[in-house]
Amino acid sequence: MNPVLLQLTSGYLSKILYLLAILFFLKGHNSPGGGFIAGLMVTSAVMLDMLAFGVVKVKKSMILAPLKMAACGVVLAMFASLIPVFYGQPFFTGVWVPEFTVPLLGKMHIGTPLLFDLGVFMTVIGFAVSVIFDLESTE
Amino acid sequence: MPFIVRGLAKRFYWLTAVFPGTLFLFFLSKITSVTKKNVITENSIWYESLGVNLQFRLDGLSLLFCLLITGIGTLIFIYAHGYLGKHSLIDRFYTLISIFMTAMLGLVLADNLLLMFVFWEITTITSYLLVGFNHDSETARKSALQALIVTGIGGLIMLAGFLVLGSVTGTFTISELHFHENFIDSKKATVIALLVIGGCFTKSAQFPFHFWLPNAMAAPTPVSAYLHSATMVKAGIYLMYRLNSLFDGNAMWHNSLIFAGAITMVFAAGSGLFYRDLKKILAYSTLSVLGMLTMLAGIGTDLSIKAGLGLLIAHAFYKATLFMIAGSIDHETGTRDTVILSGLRKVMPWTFGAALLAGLSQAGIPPFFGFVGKEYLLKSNLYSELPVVLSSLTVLSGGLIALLAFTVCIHPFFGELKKTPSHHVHEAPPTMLIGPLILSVCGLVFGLLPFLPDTHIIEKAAFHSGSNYSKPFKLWEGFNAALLLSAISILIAVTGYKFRVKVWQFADRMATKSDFRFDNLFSISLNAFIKFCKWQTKIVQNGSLKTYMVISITGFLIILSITLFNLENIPYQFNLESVGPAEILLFTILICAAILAIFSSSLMSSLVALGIIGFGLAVIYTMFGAPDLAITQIMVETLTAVMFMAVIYKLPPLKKYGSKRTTYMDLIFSLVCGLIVTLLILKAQGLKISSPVSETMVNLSYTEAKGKNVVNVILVDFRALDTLGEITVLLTAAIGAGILLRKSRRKKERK
Repeated sequence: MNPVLLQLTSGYLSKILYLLAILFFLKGHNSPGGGFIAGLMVTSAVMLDMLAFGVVKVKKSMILAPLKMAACGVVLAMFASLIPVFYGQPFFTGVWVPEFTVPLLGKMHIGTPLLFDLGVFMTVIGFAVSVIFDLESTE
Repeated sequence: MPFIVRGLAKRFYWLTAVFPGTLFLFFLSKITSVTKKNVITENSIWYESLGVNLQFRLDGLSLLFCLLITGIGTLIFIYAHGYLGKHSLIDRFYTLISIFMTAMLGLVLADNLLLMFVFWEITTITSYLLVGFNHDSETARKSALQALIVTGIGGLIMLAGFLVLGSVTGTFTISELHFHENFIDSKKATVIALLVIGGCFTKSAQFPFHFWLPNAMAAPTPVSAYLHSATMVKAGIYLMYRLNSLFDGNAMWHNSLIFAGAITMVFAAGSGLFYRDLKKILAYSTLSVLGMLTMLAGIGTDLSIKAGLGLLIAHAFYKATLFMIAGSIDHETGTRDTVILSGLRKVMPWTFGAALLAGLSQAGIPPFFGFVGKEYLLKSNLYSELPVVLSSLTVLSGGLIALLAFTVCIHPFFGELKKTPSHHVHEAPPTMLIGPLILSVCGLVFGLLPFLPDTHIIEKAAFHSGSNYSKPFKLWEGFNAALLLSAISILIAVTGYKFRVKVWQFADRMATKSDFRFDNLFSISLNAFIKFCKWQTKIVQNGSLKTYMVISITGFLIILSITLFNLENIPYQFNLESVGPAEILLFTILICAAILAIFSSSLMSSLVALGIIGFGLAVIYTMFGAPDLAITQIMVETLTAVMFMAVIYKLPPLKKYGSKRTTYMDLIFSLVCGLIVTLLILKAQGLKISSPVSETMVNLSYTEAKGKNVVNVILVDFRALDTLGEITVLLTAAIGAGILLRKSRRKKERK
């Protein structure tokens, strides 16, 4: 089976999903979204590609193997939570870079919770994609 | 350490002894600065809220142990070079024994009960690894496990004792415990004493936990010499002497120590006769001496404490020596059987010399330090509350120990040289001679000049374990009752040695008649425990997903029902005023979907129906203002559906599982579930909690965490630790799923 329609649409759709995920990820702190939801969105985009093009092709296009990605995510989250310790504050205290303005995007807050959320994001993607790949390839 | 050992050329393993050697010199230099009044302390805060701090204290008692640990450690490190030099895992050995030594030092230096417990457990674990060092032998593995279980359980009991002790006295600092007055009169003192004794007895192999020590002889000989005679088994003894002044006056403490000590002393010395293996014989005589030390701690007079510490040093010297000699003999001849060994005097003269010195010290013959130790042991028995019983038991076991000493140090060396498994029997290499020679000569020197160890260390150590005995040790005290008793015990030994062949034959006959042994009892109870575990696992985890769900949901229901029961006073709230047409439509759809999911005959349509329910829930979330949840719900629903599609072709067609009866049971179960949850929700409406957590979270969200989306702020900031835990679980689950799925795939490929 060669689902032409699906392949055509998913080419655009998955890219939109990726963009949407990034948006949700960045906006997460003040409006609905966040690392967890964004991670699920990326997963669904990957899955759309998988349905359209097959597991093998998608697997090849992945930069990082899903399990490695999940592991990196956990390590990153751990690292983010350890940063305050170097500043003499308790584990998990949020450390923030002073507020600054970026043209077009407006005011920016950057701090360890963002890094932590990035860890969550990566773990969720890694987990879900890895499980789906495994399920798909049992055939 | 492993890198250092690997880095060293084969001929230079003994250089690792620099590590304990330096420590030994360090502690030696402290001898003058540590006095009765002057102690060295070092504190730093570790975990203050739990009372666990890095408090170290070097006083007389810990100094004595430190010197023993590092001094004998140095010699053992050198000895191991000769004994294990060709072993492929020598680096592992040196690593483990270094960790052990450090932990042991920590144990005796710790001034905090909980810190001491940490070190105590490290010694237990390293001992497990060292006993099982020859991991390809089944007996070694078994003995290691046995030692681990027995001492591990004891350690936990002791921890319980420490915790109660801490809560009664309000401090975990050992040196402050003594300031707590009226402690000994409190009812809890007896309980604490029993719990702490549990730890001491298992560690120091007192009756009825003695059986692990002889079995632990499966370890390489340097380990036996170091852990199971000189140091680790003395940890329990150390604790008894350390806490002696705390429990002084508690009848339970004194009686159980005396009782168990005396039984161990006699029983072990007698059991030693049944064995031909040099190391087993030594192990039983060690047990017997440990019994004596425990008994002396139990008697608890000024004299007995000091005698105990003297005996402890004497024992460490001669027993480590004899173990090393047993190892040398084993190494050179290939056997440790006393029946085969004989006439080694000519081929191993130096070893013989060391053996003779150490053996005579163990036998308690003047002028060795062992004699001094025994003399004072008998003396303290004479001045105890049960002079006749204890003295006669001590004389008997002293005689038996001396007999065992003769069996080890004289029998293998005299007579004709017999054929042994190893053909070229020759003297042990110098690395394996230094240790035994130094230690055995020390035993002689200390015996001739008993004031030397006495004034420098024993007196201080005794003072710090609560003894004020001021008279110094003397080799010659004149003719008295103790000397007479000592002579009697040597007489027993000499007679026994003369008739040793007959004693052995008698022992053999006895051994075949009775095969009741404590380690049998241990293995029986262990097997019963394993069987019980298997049985309960079969019931609770039988591999059926349905059973798992039923069990977990039942647990959940029980908790809910209890809540429901507790909330009796709150009325059920039931009003339909705020329900609009949109909600009614939605719920109708949901209910229809649920019914479809249950009764549909194809898996596919059930799946679609479940999907409808999921999306319906998402709609409800949006309606009640939880967009984050709604998005997550939609994503999860989609992903699940796709995952299902991936495997749906491989699932068996939907058929009726089980009989009609089980189906009805399931129906009732689900209805009960639904009912309880519904009732609880209805009640929850009427419940008013003073101030819900969510309000504080909302208020703090922007000011503290700079985020307006509370849900996400909770996830990444307020409850970040939970999230970290959850993503770790995710990772583990992904790995687990990967392993399971890939394994089944590989199986198919093989077929």
